[in-house]
Amino acid sequence: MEARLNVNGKAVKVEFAPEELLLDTLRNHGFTEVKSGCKEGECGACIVLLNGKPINSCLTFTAAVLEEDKLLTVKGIGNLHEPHVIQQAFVDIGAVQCGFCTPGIVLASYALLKNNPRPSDEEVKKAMDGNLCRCTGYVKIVEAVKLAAERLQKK
Amino acid sequence: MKKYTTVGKPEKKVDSLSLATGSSKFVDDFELIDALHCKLVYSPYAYAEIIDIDDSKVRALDGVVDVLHYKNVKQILHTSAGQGFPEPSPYDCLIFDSIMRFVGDRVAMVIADSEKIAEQAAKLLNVKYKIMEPLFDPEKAMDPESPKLHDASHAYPIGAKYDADRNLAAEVEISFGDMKKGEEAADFIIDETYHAHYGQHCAIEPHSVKTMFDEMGRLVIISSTQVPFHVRRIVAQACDYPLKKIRVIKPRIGGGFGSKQEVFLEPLAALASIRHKRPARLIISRAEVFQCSRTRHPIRVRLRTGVKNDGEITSLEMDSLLNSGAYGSHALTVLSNCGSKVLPLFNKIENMRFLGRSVYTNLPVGGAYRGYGATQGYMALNQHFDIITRRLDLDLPEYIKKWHIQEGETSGVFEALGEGKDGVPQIVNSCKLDECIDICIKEIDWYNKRDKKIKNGDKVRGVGLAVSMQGSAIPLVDMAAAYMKMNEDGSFNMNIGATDIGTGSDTILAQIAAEVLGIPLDKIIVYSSDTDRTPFDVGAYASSTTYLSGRAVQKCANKIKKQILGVAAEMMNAELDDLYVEESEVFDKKQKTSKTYSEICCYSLYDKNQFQIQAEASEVVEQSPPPFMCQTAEVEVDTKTGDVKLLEFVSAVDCGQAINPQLAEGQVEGATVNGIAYAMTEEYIFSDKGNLLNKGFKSYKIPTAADIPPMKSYVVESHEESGPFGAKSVSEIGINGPMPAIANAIYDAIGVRMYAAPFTPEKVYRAMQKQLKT
Amino acid sequence: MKNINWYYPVSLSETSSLLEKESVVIHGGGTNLSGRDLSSVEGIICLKHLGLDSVKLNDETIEIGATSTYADVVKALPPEHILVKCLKNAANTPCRNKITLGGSIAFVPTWSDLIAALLALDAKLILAGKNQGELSLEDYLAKKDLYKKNLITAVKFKNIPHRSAHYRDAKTVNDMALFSVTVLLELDADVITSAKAYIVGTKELITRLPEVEAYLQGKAKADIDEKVIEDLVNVEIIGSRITDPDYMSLKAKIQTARTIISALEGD
Repeated sequence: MEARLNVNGKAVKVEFAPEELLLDTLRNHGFTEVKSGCKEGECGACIVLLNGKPINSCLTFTAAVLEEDKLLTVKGIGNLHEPHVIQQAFVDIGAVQCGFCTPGIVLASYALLKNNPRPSDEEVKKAMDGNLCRCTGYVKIVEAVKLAAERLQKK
Repeated sequence: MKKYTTVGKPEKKVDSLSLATGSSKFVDDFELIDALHCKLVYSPYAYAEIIDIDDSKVRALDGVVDVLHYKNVKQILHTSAGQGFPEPSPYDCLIFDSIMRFVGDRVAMVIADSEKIAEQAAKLLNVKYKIMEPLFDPEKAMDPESPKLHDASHAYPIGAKYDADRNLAAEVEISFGDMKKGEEAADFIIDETYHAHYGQHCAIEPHSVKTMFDEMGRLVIISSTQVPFHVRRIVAQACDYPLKKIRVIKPRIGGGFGSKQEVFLEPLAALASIRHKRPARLIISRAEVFQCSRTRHPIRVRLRTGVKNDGEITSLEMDSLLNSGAYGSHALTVLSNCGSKVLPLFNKIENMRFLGRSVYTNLPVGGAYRGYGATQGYMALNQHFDIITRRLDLDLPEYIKKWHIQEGETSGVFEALGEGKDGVPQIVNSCKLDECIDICIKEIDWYNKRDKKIKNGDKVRGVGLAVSMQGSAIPLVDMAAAYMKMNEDGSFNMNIGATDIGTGSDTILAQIAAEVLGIPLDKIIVYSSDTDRTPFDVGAYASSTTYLSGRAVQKCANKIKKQILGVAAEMMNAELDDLYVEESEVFDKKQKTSKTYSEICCYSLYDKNQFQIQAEASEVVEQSPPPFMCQTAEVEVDTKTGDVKLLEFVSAVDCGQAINPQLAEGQVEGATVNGIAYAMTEEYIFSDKGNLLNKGFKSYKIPTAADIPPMKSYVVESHEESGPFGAKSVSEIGINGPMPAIANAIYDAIGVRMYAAPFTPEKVYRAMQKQLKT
Repeated sequence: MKNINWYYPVSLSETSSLLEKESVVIHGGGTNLSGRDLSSVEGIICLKHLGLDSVKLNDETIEIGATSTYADVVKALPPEHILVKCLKNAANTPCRNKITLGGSIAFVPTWSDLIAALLALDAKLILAGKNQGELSLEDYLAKKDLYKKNLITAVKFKNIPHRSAHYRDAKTVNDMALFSVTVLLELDADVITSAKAYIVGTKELITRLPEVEAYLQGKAKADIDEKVIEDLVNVEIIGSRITDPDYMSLKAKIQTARTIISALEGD
């Protein structure tokens, strides 16, 4: 099948099998920042934002994503030269260890802060209930999101 | 404490931004052109012999390139354990064997043009098995009537004890003093048996390998590995391929925790490329990681102590039975560590015996896992202290403070128990365990909660404590090396074999070099873990990177500094003794002149007596200074249902000088949460035929942020003279305390001793019921 | 492997005719479908263009479109509503953004957090297709095979004041429930006028507790003896992850009693 996906604000032509998952389609078309950890919707490494909402791309058929849907990967919110406030906060707090879970967690945090600019610790943790991290124990991740919230408020 | 410019500072990890913005490349992010896709076929039986494989239907499928199995792959016995050569593990596995020793053992590998075709083809393999009676109970493994899983030819290259007739993969025995006299001197004996269970590392990135030939026809292996140099050697051995033609690169990897200190996929992908001259991709699924990679070794630990009424332990016997699973990777060394990292803690026991045995079973294979035997041993030791002090109505924290090893002291265990070789004697130079204990009991409010059984409706609360030590590298066995060269802007390339698996070692080691050279961190360009471009390092295990690789880096940087000073002296016509380094400049205190690093390097590269300022250094350490840790837990137990809720968890670690306190905390926090999950929710559930039933995150539960209890972690600094800037290790130790601390807290709450984890509601409930009946 | 055709109908009648085809399945959120073996599927019907994703609230009724997600429902309804209590921890955040009500009614697993709440609310389904019209959820579940070619377009129920509680027995916060207890109470002053209590995850999949409901009738919190409730609950909890069924039966008793007290206590 062929389709046009809107990824990070750009139209991308994709070719895919009817039963193909969005995770594989994105990775096959160069969006390797979307990671594959479990393929069962538990680890959140494959999270992308679909119209602003975090979803597991490993549980999403590419064929079910329409041209008018807007997809955002972690590269769509910031990059090496102009990192997003959230990405910078993760760096500053030391919330990145192996980094494999980081794109998914950054996106989950991004979606949270768009809807709830001043979340409590509990609300931050709840927003990440679909992200597994085995390295950090989550403590610094929660701190980083709170710091990002603070910094975004100041802007 | 000394003041440093970058050591001791929470410098940002050099790869953090790259990771947070998705720029970093993990194995599967490297593009391959015209790749072969590999899919493994596994045994459905726990113990079976393959009578025949008919791969004709597989080969007939369009897009299938090859099928590898025992009939067409050279049978070279080796170990998959990523350890120094000759490995202290038995050579008991083949790339493809005709004997299947667990559900999940490897029958064959399909190689095809696409993942889809490989998966389809794998289903078409026709295998005839002769099913044999399996062995699942490690306690029965050595019985004469049990099935024999291996044979004598699978022994160790190092000649360590191995007895295939008794399924004995390893045996270690040490003793001091006179056990009989020791027991006679006791007022009573405490004899208890504890169990540490199966666990899986759950690194979020599954094991991944890509192989390809470069433009010069050399085989390049890009692997998610903790041990690139061991990968190179074992691939050369198992594939019978010249080592000089192999290059191994570790890119960014998504966690290891010991699961990737194993070389079991690289030979497969390598063979695919070698035979078909095309790049190959082999990435296993999450289910395959759970069942077919490596696990924590379950260990049954029996502790028998003679105790006097004043608390003195007059004799201690530890009898450990390790379930190695189907193969013996790390069977000797994890077993040894169950004693060697645990028994020295209470070094005043004069009569001591450690008897350890590792046995084969037809179950998933144990391997390296953070803690590496110490975790299992401390489950026993800490509960044993709790039992002893309760019996004698002694204060547990004070008891531990009274009897643990102190600065300036040693233990005979250090020398007696090594890792396949003799151990190494050492004196503990730094130990702030008492401070760690004080912090933990203060923060948990120990004295207001201990023995108080504070009630909350049907629930009751309790507190528990555990202590541990680990090691820092393996003395006289492991080696690390570093290379540095200077550039004309005053920056330095640093090439190290040391393996950053998310721990931040690239950053820590750069901090050490930067501190020696008096430069900011961003002037070091780190490149690591490439067998062509970096010097040797054993890899990321045994908590060795900060201490061992750090010393190599420190040595190397000092050599560089000497060269810089030499050039500066020449440039300024100065005496070496008058020179000192500060902030990328060399100052002459007598002549009051200075030269910047940039000026010095330009001079050395272009001006006069030109040479490249560069140096290398290797390091082998003579001791393994232990970090020390205390952890306390407060639980609330539901007396009707057995549910245990963790109300608070505190950790305090003495890791010497924390090179980077933020990264040190990160290690403690991560290891602690892993340890808590191992204690509370993680378990392997097998069918009666030895099949792992819960092979995914839906059924093997690890916590998300929504599940963690309130936690506090403290880094207590001491100064370890032998360590780089006083540092010791920190990466493993945090995982040792949660299980016993929580078990002790459960006992404090409801008076029920949990000898095995995970402390699920049903297990706690059953233990409560059993206690009521007795 | 056969090629699967994807369909994107823009009207209910188009959808109904597509449903008459052989070997077609409906794609709601896709979380269940994406894990299934699709080798016998020839067509997938994507419902995105049908506009079935709104939540309509008025004083009398609440009507939720079938492709509304769990997240949509949690956001649209007040926090004390039984559906919010049941769904807020059902699955994790990214899954709640995709799991649809329609999909969760068409396929009810032992870990369903949804079905008991809808039954307690006396929910009605609005179906399109051959047997179109309104149908009680209870009837639908009892005769599922009859409605295989129908499309659930919406769920509706009365907007009544109530107190509720939902207990899920799970190892972690978002784990699939090993069993769950759902209680809905209507009260006058503080006396129970109507009680609905269910356990999901039992041998029957969904077990209503009529004796418990009868016991609760006319009682206030002070009148309730948890032990009596426990004695009235006798269920078998099944499921592939259950390792100690006797323990689970006991737990079901205890947690049912506690969930009822929790519902009475309110937030």
